[in-house]
Amino acid sequence: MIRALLAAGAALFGAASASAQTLVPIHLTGDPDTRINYVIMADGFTAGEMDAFRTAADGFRDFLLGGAPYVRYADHFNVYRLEIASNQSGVSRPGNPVDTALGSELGCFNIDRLLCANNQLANAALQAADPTISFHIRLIVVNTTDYGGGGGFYATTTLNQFAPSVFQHEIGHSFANLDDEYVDANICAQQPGLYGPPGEINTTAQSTREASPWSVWIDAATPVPTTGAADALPGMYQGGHYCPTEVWRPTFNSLMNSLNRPMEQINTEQFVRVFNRTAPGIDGANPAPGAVSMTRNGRIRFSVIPKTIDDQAYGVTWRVDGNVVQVPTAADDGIGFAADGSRYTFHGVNFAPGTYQVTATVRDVTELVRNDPASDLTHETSWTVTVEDRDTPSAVLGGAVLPFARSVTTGTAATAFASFINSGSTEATNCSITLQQGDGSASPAGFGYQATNPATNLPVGGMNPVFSIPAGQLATFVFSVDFAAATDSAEVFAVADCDNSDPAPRGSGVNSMIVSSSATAQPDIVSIAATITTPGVADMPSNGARTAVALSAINIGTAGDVTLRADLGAGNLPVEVEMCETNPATGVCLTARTPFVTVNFAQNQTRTFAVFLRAHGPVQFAPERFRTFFVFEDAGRVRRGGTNVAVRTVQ
Amino acid sequence: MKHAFLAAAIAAFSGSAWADGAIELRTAPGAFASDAAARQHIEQTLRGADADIEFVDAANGVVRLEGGEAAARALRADPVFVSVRHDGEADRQTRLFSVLLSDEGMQVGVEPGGRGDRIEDVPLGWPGEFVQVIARDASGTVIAEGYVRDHRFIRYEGWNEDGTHRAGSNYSDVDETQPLDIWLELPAATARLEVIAPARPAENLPERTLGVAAINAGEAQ
Repeated sequence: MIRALLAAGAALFGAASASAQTLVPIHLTGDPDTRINYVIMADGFTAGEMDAFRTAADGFRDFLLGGAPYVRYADHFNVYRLEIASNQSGVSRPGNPVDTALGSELGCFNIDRLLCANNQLANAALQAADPTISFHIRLIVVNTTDYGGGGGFYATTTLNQFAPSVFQHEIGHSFANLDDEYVDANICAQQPGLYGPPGEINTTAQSTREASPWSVWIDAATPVPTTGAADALPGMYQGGHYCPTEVWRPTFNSLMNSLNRPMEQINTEQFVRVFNRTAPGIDGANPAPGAVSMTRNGRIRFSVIPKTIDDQAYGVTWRVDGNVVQVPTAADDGIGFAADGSRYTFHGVNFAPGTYQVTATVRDVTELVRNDPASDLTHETSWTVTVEDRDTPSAVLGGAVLPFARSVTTGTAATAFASFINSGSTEATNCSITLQQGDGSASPAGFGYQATNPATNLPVGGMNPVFSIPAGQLATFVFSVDFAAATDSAEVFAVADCDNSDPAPRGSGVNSMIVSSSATAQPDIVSIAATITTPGVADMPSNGARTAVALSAINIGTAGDVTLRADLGAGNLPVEVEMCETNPATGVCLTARTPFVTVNFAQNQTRTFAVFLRAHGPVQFAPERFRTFFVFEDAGRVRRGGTNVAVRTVQ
Repeated sequence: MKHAFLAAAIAAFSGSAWADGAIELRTAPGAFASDAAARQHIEQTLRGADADIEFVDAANGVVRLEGGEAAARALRADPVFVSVRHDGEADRQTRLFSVLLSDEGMQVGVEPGGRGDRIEDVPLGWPGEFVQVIARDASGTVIAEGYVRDHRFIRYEGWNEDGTHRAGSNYSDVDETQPLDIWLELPAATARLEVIAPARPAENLPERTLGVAAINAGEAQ
């Protein structure tokens, strides 16, 4: 929505696009692609007033996520605040302009309480802050305590105490497509021409119990039409969608009728359907959904990351060509994120050569939804599996590379170490190493490798040797990557292949390296990570407690400002990340934990950091895919260093 | 990361995008005590998803329905159905289109990855809140249609101090001096794209076609 406007917005509104904006996660539960993303944007707050905005943003976060129906789905939300400083404090009024970042005006269109922001400035600010995130709920908080607000694609509000309930009502419209349930004779006189017929979600022109869109909610003992003023009693109440007659609403007085009221059942049901429609019930899958192939004697372990509600993972039903092969396990119904049923192993030996469809289906079984005509609450991921008419070669290769990222001057080789292990039963022969891109094609970079002595890491022998790896043994190498032109954050993979093996599989963070090649010298930060329990694996407790990863980094490039950030990778992990720089002697945080850390890294300086990971859903052990990356980026988001660990949830 | 879960966006498509078809269910023979019990369980599992139960033989564990993908998906989530076969699945290849409407006309790009804006079957809101999108294939047949939110829309509702609505206070506006930017995930066969502004009676504005674009061989024109 905001994407293509960047260029136009920047051109038309140069002053705003030049304003510094910082997007700060204040409730982060996973990859934004799998979450309902709620952004709270500042307007009319000067740089010196930003603390007041931060406090207000926390309040709007807690108000929304702390109440029904959001609270049970809080783990499906990410919340961000957008800090953007205005030149002047407050809000414009007709005839009294104030220079604010998003151009808000209270009293726009000659309506005293209508608060309008400049949507294009808001679009440009979000685009500049993070163009990769789709924001589903957008609130602009304006720095005045006067009463005012507005709805639409951007909701606007003030610091007035009555503002939150208005905002809740407005997102009932803009997020959940709910109708107004109140009566307004002025509008009704122009209906249905003005606003159209009832939407048939929370208002209807149907008058009978049987034809009601919410009939499943009406108890047999409840009379239709329904009278009385009881809360939370679904029925057929006359009046709604602006008219007192010939329209019916589901409850006596919900938030879509009056402020400071509960949503009530039918509106809550719609919210939950839209939650599910917006944030898929499967956070990640391994391998990536699509086509995969295997040999007759091979196996593929499929796994998914189902969402959770009330700290329980959605159960997973696995099917091959529509036939159940694995049902949700008891673990899915237990406490925490054990979710043993979230993986299924496909053994080629059990299937004839050919093509099969493997499907994982999950369902949100909340009692808040009784009617789900589009099956919004059911989610699927599928793979097309081809069982090849051949057996796996007897030599089996795997590879690993360290360090994970290098940053060099163009024309200078970036070097790293690679190890390849043969886990097969026979010697791998006539082997060589190639440098590949993520799609398996050859990297355009210059590439060379040399064997090393694994005891000393010193090179031995000539360049680019053809080699063998005995069964159960490993071979170690140093290799160089040299881009002829400037390159930002290119990921390359060192892949060994032998005559009697398949190529070593490509895995980001496993046998890959991020290379940045710049015209001028830049920071080049070599880092390593240490975990608490399993080496190289961050074991996140299933009860929502945090685990920690220790990072140590040295800058072997030039001095510079870099920001350490977490990247949840292609697995769309439901993982919350906080971090801090630590005292290298004690490991104690030097500052409060934050979602990212910016430091000025001196040349040859060593710094240490702690990263805290918390799971909001089950993560299977799939180290080739489910990893968390810790990357050092410069101001242009070019990667200048980094490391990574595998992640999983454990009991 | 942006490439994941396009399937979820597909689910948000207009129901008319994908054809209904035959669904055949198998249960363990005798899993249901009677045909009526099987029928009741299926209806509960469907939770309102559109399907017609055409044949039930609980004793032999065979049920046949006519229904769409939503129904088939709901049934696949229930492991009591040991087999779910649905032959109504159409080609679900989709592409992501970025659409920018401005004074200079309508520009359409084909995006390599990302998520489309939510597409609704009907414009559930006030006039001006949504724009209509129609996708046609090369033959001119409509292959998808729906409504997406117009970010230029603003709404006002006034409230009394007791929380009740203030009569006569409602107001809305669409600032058409600003460009409109939407992303649409549509069937890959889309060859022509139309964006239409529905009528806004309060402003005496009729339905208007905002832009039309042809898309050929993966490139927008």
